[in-house]
Amino acid sequence: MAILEIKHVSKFFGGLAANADVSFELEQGMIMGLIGPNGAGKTTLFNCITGYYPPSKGEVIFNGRRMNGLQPDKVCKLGMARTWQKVRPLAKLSVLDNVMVGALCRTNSLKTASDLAMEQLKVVRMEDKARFLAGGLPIGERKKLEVARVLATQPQMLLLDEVMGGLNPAESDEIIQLILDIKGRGITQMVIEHDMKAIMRISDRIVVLNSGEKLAEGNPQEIVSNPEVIAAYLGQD
Amino acid sequence: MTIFLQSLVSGVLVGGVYALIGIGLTIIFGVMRIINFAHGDILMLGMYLAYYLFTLGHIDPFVSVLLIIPLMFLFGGFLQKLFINRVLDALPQNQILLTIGLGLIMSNTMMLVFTSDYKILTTKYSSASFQALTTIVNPDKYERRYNRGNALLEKAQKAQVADRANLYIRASARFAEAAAIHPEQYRALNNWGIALDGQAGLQKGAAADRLFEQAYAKFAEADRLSPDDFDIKYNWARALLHQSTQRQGAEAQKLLEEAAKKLDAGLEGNSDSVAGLNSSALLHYLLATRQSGPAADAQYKKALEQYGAAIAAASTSDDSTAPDFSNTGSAEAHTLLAKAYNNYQPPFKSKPDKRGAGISVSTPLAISFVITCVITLLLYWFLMKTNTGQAIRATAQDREAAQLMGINVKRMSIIAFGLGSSLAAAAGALISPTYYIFPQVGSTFTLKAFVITVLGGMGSIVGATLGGIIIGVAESMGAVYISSGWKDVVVFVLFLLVLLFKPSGLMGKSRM
Amino acid sequence: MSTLKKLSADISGSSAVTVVAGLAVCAGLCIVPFFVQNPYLLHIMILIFLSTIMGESWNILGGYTGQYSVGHAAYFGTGAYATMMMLQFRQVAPWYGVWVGLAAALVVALVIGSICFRLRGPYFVLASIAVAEILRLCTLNLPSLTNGAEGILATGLPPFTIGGTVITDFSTKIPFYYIGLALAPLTILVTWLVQHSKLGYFFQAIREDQDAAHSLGISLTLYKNIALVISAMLTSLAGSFYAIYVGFVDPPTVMALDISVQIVLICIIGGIGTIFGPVIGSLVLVPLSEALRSNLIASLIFKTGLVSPDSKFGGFLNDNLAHAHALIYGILVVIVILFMPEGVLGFLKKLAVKRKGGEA
Repeated sequence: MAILEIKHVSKFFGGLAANADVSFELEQGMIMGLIGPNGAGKTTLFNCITGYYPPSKGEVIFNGRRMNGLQPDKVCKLGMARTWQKVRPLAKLSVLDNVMVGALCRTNSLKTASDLAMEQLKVVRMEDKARFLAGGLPIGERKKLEVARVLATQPQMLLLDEVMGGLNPAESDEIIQLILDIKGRGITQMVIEHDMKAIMRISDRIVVLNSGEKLAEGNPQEIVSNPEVIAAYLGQD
Repeated sequence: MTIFLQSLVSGVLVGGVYALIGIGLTIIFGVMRIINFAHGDILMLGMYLAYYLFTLGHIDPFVSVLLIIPLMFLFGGFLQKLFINRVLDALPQNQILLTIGLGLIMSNTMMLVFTSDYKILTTKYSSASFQALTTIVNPDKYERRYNRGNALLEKAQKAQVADRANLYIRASARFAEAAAIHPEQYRALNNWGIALDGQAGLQKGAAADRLFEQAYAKFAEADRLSPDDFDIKYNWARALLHQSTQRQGAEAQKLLEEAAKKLDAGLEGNSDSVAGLNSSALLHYLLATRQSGPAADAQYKKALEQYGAAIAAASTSDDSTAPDFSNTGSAEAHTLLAKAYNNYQPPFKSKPDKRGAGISVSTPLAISFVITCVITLLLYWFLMKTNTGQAIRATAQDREAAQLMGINVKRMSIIAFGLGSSLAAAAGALISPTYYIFPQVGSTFTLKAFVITVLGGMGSIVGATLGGIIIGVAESMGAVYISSGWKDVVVFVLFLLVLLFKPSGLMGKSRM
Repeated sequence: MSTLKKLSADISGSSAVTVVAGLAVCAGLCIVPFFVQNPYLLHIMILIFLSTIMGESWNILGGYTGQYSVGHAAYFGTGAYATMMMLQFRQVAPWYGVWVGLAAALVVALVIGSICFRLRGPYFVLASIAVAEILRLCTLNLPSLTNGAEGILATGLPPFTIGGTVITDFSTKIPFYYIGLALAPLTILVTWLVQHSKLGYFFQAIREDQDAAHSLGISLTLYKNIALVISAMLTSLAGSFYAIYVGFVDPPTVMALDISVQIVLICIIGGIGTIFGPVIGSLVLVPLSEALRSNLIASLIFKTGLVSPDSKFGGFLNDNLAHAHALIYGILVVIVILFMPEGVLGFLKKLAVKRKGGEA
């Protein structure tokens, strides 16, 4: 069964279409890669799905429920959480407190939230950094913190916006393992990534965006052999 | 229609100066993304500079602007270099607080040095005005009656007592007709009040009281239409004094107090009127004779103060000072004032206003508007045509890109803050002949500057110009059509509406 | 019961020390009036309590939630006016009038919140000023309701009785001292409770990054308004207390922009977003401005012999230093922003950390 359905979604800014008539479906428990050249409208699509922008046209359906016009906090409560391309740690709070903010989405008890947060920190192997200030972490750990924080909201689906951007290969490998672990827990994921090798490794399906439109969709093998996709990427460079 | 035009014209004239204040703030915001809460205080410094250059250096404020602009440019640059440049990367709230702190330092230092007394810069033209657009307010019907009324009034004042009543009644009728044609022409109302007052003086008892009440109503209406007019308050006080002579005891005292209050309020903006000062002295003297103890002492003191000021104002020499009465006791004051005002006959000379109909334009505001236009045009030229101007605009558009292009951003910030400060101070100098000058005057203008810049779009010079004029007009329309107490509410509500529905302002897209 | 359990569970380790110390200080303050009868000293203590209440209240919205309101005079004035209007026009005793003030502040806060919370950053600051100014102008221009510019003078405070026994007739400063001593710790307690609850986490998340907070399931509108309502109601309480203590309100003394700025300064100077910042700010600001007002500083300068009171400069100091407290505020703010942007408390902490680091 499809957990997420994107139906003819368009988003206009003034006269410019950042997304034009994008449609696809995502099955429960899968990882979908969302790729495309810079400015293809990937992050805009994330924003439309998670409530930061209302789509100008079309529908976003999550678990059978129409999501258009819902505020981001409502979207999160319904089980869909996102990370940010440019990480947004709550700088003056500790690492544990950051994750607790996410956990408090589901509980009112600080004790429960704290336990849950510690659990998530263990998942990303940052339990020893719990007392550090989030603002002082290096980039790799900020990315992992971001993932731990959204996991703490106990989502059914995660939207990860370039969680490997700016990381060294060892750190990237760690994140790839993390994404596969999350998949193992049954959480559906949609991943924006520029690192093609990584995206091919983790994705069950891939959607390619170009100039706001869906260029292609298929499993990784189909995408790499798709001449239009190759043209779009070569044309870009 | 005339009311509308009148408030439109005065609104635009004041709006010109507001625009200057707004442009200063918007340049600072454009280049540094800092909201300068000390902006009004810098304007206040400009006012004080203009005041002291005028009283000590005898330089007209419209000339001293030329001195104040470079002076305050240096001051602003100094503030930027010493303080603001250090917080460019701090949290916006800390930047705001820093400028609040600087503003507090400026206004309170001025208060320590110059006290919190109101100062008034009185030039020859401070309360002068001229008539404009006389042709469009239907002069024929109105003016014929108004002029006829004036002629009758003059005749009545010179006539034998027995003939006066009839003449006053006829004058009243003409003014009533004139006022019916143009209910907004406060001059007809003022003169109507004088005629009614004249009639009342010839009557006794209830009939007189009714006429006095009518006269007060006319003066009140005229005063509402032209709140800064000294003559209206003077004539009003005169009528109150007349009525007090028909009363006894507490009632008379109440009327005298009312008269003194009106007259002194009028004198605040016209401290050079000899007749006004003499009359005020007389009123306080009369009040003193009706009271005893400290209350009387206070009235004697006030009377002497006005008496001294009248002597100084009447003197023809330039550097005359008021005689010092600070050590004069009440008994002594009584003899002195009794002597001075026993022969002060008649105590009040009514002042019918003979200027014609039309739109009254304040001379100082008109001059300052012209200067404002010149300054704004020069500023445009500077920003558009000079290298430094273009560098400032580039910095405003994208600080980091400008830095990469080799523009010295810190230096541009210093120039921008200097420019902003000199514009605010120039506005202060330009309005110094028409506003009270006191250390806390700045906060009103800071708030206005915010409203103007947000309205026009933060960082947009064209927007600030437009915003200034809109706020000027909104204020003057609000004062006329709602009430002067509510005019600021009109401005703030406008401000909130813009913030909520068009936060980028009217000219939000085009930054500088 | 469960809250109590949670409370006791939360009070552990270092915070237990703080609580014990806090209770000890409160107990000490309780017995002060038995030894100090000097009305002037009591007056200063009362002002410190008042300033603490104002600072702590603002801190919840400005310090924890990051919404820099420079319009808190609106709530202060609402509390002050509501209490005075009830007392003078309706003959309602202030301890009932306070509740009217709280209710009014709640309504005012929700109206202001619905306008200002659509805006962020500097625009929020400007809107908060504008709304407070509108409220001040309305108070000034509706004399039939508020007595306009003349203000309201309290002509007689009814004695406070419980079951026919007169507890106090408010003839000295001591009852006001105890009211302040009750309210100031109350606001500190509210702040502490907020910080140690879900609210505190959500408020700080909003302060640090609104968009991130939103994506983590935090309703910005809801939690910003909760912070505003708590803050506004406590500020209104301060306003009521001030009005009864001074016995007079008019628009410039309880509604002006100065009041809003002063409220922010208490927190900035002490250290924003900390429980004891406003206390420190009050302990610095109130005695300093009172010392200036009473010419204590001038006489101290004369005592050092640096300046003779008879000299021209001495005379100037004597006449004017009393008016200099606002100037000192300005200088303090500039120093704090430039050299200790975390406030006095943050500065001291940093010093302590440095020292420890040096020793290790």
